[in-house]
Amino acid sequence: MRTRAVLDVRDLPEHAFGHRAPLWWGTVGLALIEGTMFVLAMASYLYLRMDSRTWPPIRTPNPDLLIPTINLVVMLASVAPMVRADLLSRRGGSVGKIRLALVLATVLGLAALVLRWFEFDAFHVRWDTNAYGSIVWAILGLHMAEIFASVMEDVVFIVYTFRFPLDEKHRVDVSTSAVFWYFVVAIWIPLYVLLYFTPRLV
Amino acid sequence: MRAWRHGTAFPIALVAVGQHAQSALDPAGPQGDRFIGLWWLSLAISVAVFVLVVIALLVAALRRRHEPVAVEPVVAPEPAGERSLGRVVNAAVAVTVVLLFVWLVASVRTGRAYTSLRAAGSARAPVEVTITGHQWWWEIEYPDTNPSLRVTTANELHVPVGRPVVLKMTSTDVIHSFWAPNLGGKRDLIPGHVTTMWFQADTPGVYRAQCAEFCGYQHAHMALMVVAEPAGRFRAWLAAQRQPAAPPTDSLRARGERVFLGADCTLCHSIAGTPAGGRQGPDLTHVGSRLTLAAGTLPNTRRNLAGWIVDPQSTKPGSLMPQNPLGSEDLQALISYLEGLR
Amino acid sequence: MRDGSAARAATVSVEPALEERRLEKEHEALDEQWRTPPGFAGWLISTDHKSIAVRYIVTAFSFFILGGINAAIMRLQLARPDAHVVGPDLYNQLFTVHGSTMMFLFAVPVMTAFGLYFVPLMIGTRNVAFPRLNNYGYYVYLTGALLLWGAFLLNIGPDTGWFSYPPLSGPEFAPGKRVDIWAQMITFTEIAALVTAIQIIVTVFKQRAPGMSLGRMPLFVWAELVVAFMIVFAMPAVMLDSSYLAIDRLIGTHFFNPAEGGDVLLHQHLFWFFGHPEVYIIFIPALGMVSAIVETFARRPIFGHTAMVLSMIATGFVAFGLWVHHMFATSLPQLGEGFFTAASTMIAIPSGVQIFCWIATIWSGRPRLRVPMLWVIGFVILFVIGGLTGVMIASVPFDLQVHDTYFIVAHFHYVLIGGSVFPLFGAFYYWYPKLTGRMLSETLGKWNFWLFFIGFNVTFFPMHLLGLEGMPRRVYTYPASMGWGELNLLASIGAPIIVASVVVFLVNVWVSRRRGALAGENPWDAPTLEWATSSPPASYAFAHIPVVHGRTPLWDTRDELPVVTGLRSDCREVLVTDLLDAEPDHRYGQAGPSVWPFALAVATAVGIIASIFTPWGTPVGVVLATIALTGWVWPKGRERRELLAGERL
Repeated sequence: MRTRAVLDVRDLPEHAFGHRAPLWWGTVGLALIEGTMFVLAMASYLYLRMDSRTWPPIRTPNPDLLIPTINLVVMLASVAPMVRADLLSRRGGSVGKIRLALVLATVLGLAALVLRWFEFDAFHVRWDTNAYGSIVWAILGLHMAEIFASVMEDVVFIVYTFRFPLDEKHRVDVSTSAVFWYFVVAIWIPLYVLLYFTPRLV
Repeated sequence: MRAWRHGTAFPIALVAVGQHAQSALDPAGPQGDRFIGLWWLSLAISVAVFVLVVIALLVAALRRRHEPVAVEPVVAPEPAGERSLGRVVNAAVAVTVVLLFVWLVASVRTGRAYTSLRAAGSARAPVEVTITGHQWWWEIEYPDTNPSLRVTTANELHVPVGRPVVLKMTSTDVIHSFWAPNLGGKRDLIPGHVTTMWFQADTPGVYRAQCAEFCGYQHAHMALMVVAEPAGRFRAWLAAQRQPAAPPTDSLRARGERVFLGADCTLCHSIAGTPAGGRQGPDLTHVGSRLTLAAGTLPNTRRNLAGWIVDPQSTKPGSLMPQNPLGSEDLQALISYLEGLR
Repeated sequence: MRDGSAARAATVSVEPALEERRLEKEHEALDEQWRTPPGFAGWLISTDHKSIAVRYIVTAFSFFILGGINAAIMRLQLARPDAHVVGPDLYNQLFTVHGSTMMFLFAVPVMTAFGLYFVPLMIGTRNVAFPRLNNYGYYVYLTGALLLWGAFLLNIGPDTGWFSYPPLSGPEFAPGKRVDIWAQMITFTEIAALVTAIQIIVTVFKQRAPGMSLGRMPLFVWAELVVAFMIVFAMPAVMLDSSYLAIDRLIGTHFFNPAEGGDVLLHQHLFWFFGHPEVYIIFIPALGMVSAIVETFARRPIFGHTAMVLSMIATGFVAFGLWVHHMFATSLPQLGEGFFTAASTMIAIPSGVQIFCWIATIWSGRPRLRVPMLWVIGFVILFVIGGLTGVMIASVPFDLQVHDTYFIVAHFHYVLIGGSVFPLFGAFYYWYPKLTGRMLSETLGKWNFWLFFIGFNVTFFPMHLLGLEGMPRRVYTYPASMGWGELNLLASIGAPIIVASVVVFLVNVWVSRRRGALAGENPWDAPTLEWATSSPPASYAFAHIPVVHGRTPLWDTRDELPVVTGLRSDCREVLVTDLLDAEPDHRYGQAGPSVWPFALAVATAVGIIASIFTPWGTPVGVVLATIALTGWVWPKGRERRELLAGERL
């Protein structure tokens, strides 16, 4: 078929941030998938609860609050350097500053992983004790995997900045990875309330 | 009343007691009747809808058939034609919505009728039966506040006609499902849950029921017989079942009892009135009175019983009952003993 | 659109001969960038959505045949009462593997594979949004498929049904590794489906040709988009569920163990929250295929385009509100039953709307009854039957009779084969010229259709009656005294007719591949953009991205196609446009072939398969996957050179 040129796009930019970038939509899609999974895990938790006369089940104490709450604060704090890395990437900030923000976020992320290790103890129940133990370990474990993935992504970015210049494409990548980080922290807030407060309050 | 269509020894024996074909289209109780009403209504609507849609489709496709040309020109839709087409489509959608609504109302009304049996039944002292599903047989209990009046049997559910029955069901292994098509509906037997099901048989007879939820190897051979009989006969049956097994009176049966008690049988089976108290398999206190063996798999004849005891795996591969290589005399004695447990 | 720059581009064409040479050079340059390296290496590293989609289609169809062989053996066993063709153990494996294969290895992958091939072409772009991920998805799917079938051929195939209800599938009643293989096959195929869903969503959102607003998108693209969203919300449920089952079996958790506070019905809720939408995930792409075929062969734009789109979206939403109708027999609160009955009944409305719109389109067009159209007519007839029985079983009292019987078996085969496989065959006849450059034979096509149509009805129609006469599903045999013998024999007679039809199809594909009539760009004079490419399409699909002014672009502008210029031909550049109106936004250089997606698929396979045997499989898989992902994103080759060169500048 013969063609007729009606539109020239050579002046368009080669990269774009935020919702203009395909990668951003891919990340949002991933968050949507993981989010659905966590919502269903929460539904499983509540469903299993319906079968039990007491919750936590008999002879299992309420979960501790101290370490889990510290961990929540650490995770919320990690959002700040991530926001900074995101904004610096968009505004063409220097590699040094972006790297510093990423290192800070990574340190907080690693701290969250270590605290998560102790968070399992906060429930005073093993995964194979009863269904309550199974579902809380599953939720903690699944979310731990999300933190781990986000931290690993950050580590790769940090190593990258030592080896290569931070071009526009990789700035988009950094900015987009922040979106997933926000999701990982945000989804923990309802999970935290569910795991630690609903047994006490309701 | 429709007898089993294929006359072998088995059905003929059962026709004598009023055996019905296992079919939802041959109802014998109020719920089965209700289902039939719903079925004919849906069939009528469906046939009408199907015929109309297919006629419209075929006319649309064939009405302008002519010699094909290489490339048909594209038709540009004209506004007036599109509008009248739109009206027809809207009307068709409206009819669909109305029909679906009619169906929904019919369904809800039928559902209510099902429930009303429950409401009315509670008031009329229903027969209560507990059913426990096992791989691959049914344990049936008639509870009573007096433990000595409780009846435990297997694979055969006796109910009086014209009186509501409530089944309280659970399972100790995997999920099963109780389905007696002639009597209406099915209900799952779920470990960790107790499900209830109400039904009523109006016509006396024997109705075959079958497990409807896939439960492993022998899902295909997990049936039970629902025997609906007049109130008097039901009471007599229940009274007989409450008795422990009568001790053997002749030497052959006495030998059979010794064989039974001396072999592995007692690990799994109980016979009230004897030391046999196993709970893994069906209670055999009145096994001689039952219509079938191995959960509706074989008619209860002497020959089948012998075959079943010696080599259950050839009839029901995977069954938990082991092979029992018995000498011929011991076997004959055992069968006589079991047959006499009426 | 930027009209100023259009004027500049329009002045290019001066001398025809010179122009032709310039175009040729441009095409060569584009092909240099976009083509996949030849040979086995190319197979492992390809990022071309077309070759990956064709691999998906061929693989999925191979499993359709294998699953069909299972079905044929089952029909042989059931043809006579008390038959001994196979025993209960093999029979249980046969139907479990048949169901799992048809749902997870055939239907979903083949439907999304058609999307992977045609969505980018129909929206006028050169590749999907994440080309490397695409390759990863295929290998993950292939591993899952080989896992299931490897196990089955070793006689350790899963045997607890395609929905594997615990406790039957739990550690106590299903020892061995059979159920673990089933659960991990789910993990593999769901990862692949999710990857494909993201792929389709982002490609449709961001890479449509300029001017193709959402309202101008072809219905097939809409169908794939709706389905992609359904996958995103449905598949996590079954992944979570199969993971619960796997860890109950592996490390002794108690999700489904009633003795320790677990609940076997949790599995049913999660499974059917996925499982019901799954049916529509298979069915909605078929609706898109039917719309594409009807539009082309009725020779007019689809009547009620907007109503069709809204119907598909409505179906997608309501599909998530029906899961409990698979659980009516488990005793639910009455209010719940009413809600799910109403939802299950009302989902018939959007299906009705679409059927009426197709009939209206055909009625007011000038229909040509070519082979794709025959499949569409067969589809409507069978789907109406399946839909009507679907409305019947939405009713609780009705369903309590026929649930888990052959009535249900008949119903879902009418819906799935009639509703999906018929359109799929139609789509294959319709698009085969685009895939290969050659037409399929019409004569063999008619044989293919009529044998399938007759064989299908002979096999499955009697099953309605068998179900009402009390025959439960999943029984490996039945006593002669039940009176089910004749109808079962009839059903079994239909099976070889279907087999014959599929053989005719294979012969047709094989022969036409070499000897079929040459198709040219647009053999059916169809209106959508995939027909503006050569047949088969070049590696870069469009030398110039088209500009769209309506819903039927190739009918709207018959003599020449308005196009975009200015995309680079020295790298894999695609045009990114905005979500609603497809205004050009930026240009984006895509990643090229790479071996790392394959490496990641291997890491995934090692992790998941090892998890069947030991809890350490997961950490090992995570470590390997981390290595593979790092390799994936780490700059190499040309990207590395350019980055380092950029630093020196």
